[in-house]
Amino acid sequence: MKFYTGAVLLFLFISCTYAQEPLFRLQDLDKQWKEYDQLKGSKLTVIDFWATWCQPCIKAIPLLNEMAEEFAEEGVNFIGISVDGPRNQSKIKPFVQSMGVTYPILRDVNSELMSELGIMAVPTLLLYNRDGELKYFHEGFRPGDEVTIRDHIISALEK
Amino acid sequence: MLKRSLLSIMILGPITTVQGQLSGNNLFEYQLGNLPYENPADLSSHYDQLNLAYRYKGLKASLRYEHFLSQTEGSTYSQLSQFQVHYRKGKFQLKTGTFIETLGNGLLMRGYEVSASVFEEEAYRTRYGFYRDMLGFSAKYSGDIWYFQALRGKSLVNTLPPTLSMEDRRIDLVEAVESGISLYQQTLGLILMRNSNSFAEDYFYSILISGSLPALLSYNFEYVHNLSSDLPVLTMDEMSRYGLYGSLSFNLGSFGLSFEYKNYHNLLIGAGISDPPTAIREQKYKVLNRSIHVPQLLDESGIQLEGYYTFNTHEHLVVNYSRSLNQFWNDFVFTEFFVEYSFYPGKRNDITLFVDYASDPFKSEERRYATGGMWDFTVIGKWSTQLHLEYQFIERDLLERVNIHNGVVILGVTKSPGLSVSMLWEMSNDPFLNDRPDTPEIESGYRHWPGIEASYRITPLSTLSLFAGKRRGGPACNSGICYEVLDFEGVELRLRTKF
Repeated sequence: MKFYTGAVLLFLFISCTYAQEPLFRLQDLDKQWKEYDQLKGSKLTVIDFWATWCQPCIKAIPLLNEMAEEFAEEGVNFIGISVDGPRNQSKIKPFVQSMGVTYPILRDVNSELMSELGIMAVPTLLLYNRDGELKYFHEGFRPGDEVTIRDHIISALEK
Repeated sequence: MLKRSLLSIMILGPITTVQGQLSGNNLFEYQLGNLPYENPADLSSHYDQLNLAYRYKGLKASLRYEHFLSQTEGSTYSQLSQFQVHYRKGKFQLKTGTFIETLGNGLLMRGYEVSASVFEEEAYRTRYGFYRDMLGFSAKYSGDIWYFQALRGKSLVNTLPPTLSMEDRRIDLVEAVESGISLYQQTLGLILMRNSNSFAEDYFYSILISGSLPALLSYNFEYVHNLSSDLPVLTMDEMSRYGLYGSLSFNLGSFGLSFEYKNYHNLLIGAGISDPPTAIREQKYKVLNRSIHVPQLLDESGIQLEGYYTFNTHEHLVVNYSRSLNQFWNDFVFTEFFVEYSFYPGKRNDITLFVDYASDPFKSEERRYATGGMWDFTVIGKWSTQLHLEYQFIERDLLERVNIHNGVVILGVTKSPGLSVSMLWEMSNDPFLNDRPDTPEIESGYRHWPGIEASYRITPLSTLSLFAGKRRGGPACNSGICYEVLDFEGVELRLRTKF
């Protein structure tokens, strides 16, 4: 009981030191820590949750890569977050590099961020504005979805 | 422990003021139907999973409430199944309540959640979310040079349903510390873990080495060993409990290569808290996914080699080879070759083809051949069609020699972004599947699983899905986790909502 009382008191203490925390802090493919604030776009940020075992995710990646290059100069940054578990960790880097992915890829090995953001399936794409507000949520990927995603990016840029 | 953790949340909840953000999601599933040959055929049940999270800056309180109602006696439950207070500030994290954590590469302990999956065991006939979490606390510091983690908690045995008590479902008490240093993109780490339950107390250590060599090569190795025996700590003999996993990743332009090595011996820990990398490809095709080789942690060694080549932006080749050896009363050597080629002829076609060969003597399947593909065709604007074909041929030699044919056909229409309708048909002449348990005769011939699946996105945050027909069960691997899925005949309605 003493331990849990201590834990509660510790939480009360640290709750007094609240500070705004970035959306995430994850490791990249070289195990270097990256924060959302380092990678976000000056106007919009597109985050794609994906996995190497997910066929729609793999179909979406080349199209997202094209969009990342298309919107790079308009203040839109793309971030890929792999939710592959330990089973597929060794495949992520050779896979994305062979595909020529130009945007940063991070690892969410225990799907903690995915769970924290309430995401229930991959691929899921999130579009945030410069204030960190979620402007669009897109689950799954079907032929033609790239047009819908592009339309939302353009629409958000115009606002 | 449950009451104490809940107490923490109740005290902390009001403190977080009204300035925070409340979010969550809900999964509702209704089924009218049953397992094949089970009565009543129109069994009615529903499952609901509500996840709520309240976040104020670095502090988050969350909970999961699960509810299942069915006509099957003893299967109904309603319970708060997860609750957590999570504090994050810079490089420091503290979690109490239920949480998901993995030590190293999962050779010693791995927590996970297969999102939006609903699991059911034939023996209990109750449905619940499929995850393996811990109840306790975890503290972590993840610096750029130094990292440290300490955790203590009771791991969930997720094959036991929520209708059993918390004590029965959380058998293993895991206590562990992990620490390491990273310099110049090279990391050296150490884990010490104690696992105890009413039957045994085990101590393990693990050494982790990983890093990147300039531009081209990445490596990752882990060696774990039991500390409780009288044997020297580096012994890898018959009596020892150890695990060795290593991977190398290599890139050169459009070419990528992954190589993995595994050697696991007596690595079943507690009620099954370990989940080391399998070094077997996780197949997405139905006929191959059902046949995936599942590692035998009593003894398994082997390799996996997977190569990627991108010809141009939309043309991609994957080649995989894996080999595993199980040394039991005999040596069983599993091998698999897999090739997949994706290409986009014209701007309206998207085609993926695969071929696979495997030999799996542990299942008495000397030869397995499979082939198939997927074809997406954009008809006009956001409308497209999908054709998905798979065929598998198995030579099984168990008691008598049989040739097994498995087939899958899926034909679908979608309108981006929110509408899809598919017709599914599966067939098999596998004798293990075709004999009816409710008749004394041994049936043979082909069994068929026809069905229809539809999905409609009501809003970007809400999706309604419907399945009607017969669904083939069997072994399935999803999100890196392998488990058993039950057959189903009837109608299933699912509503997923995020808010």
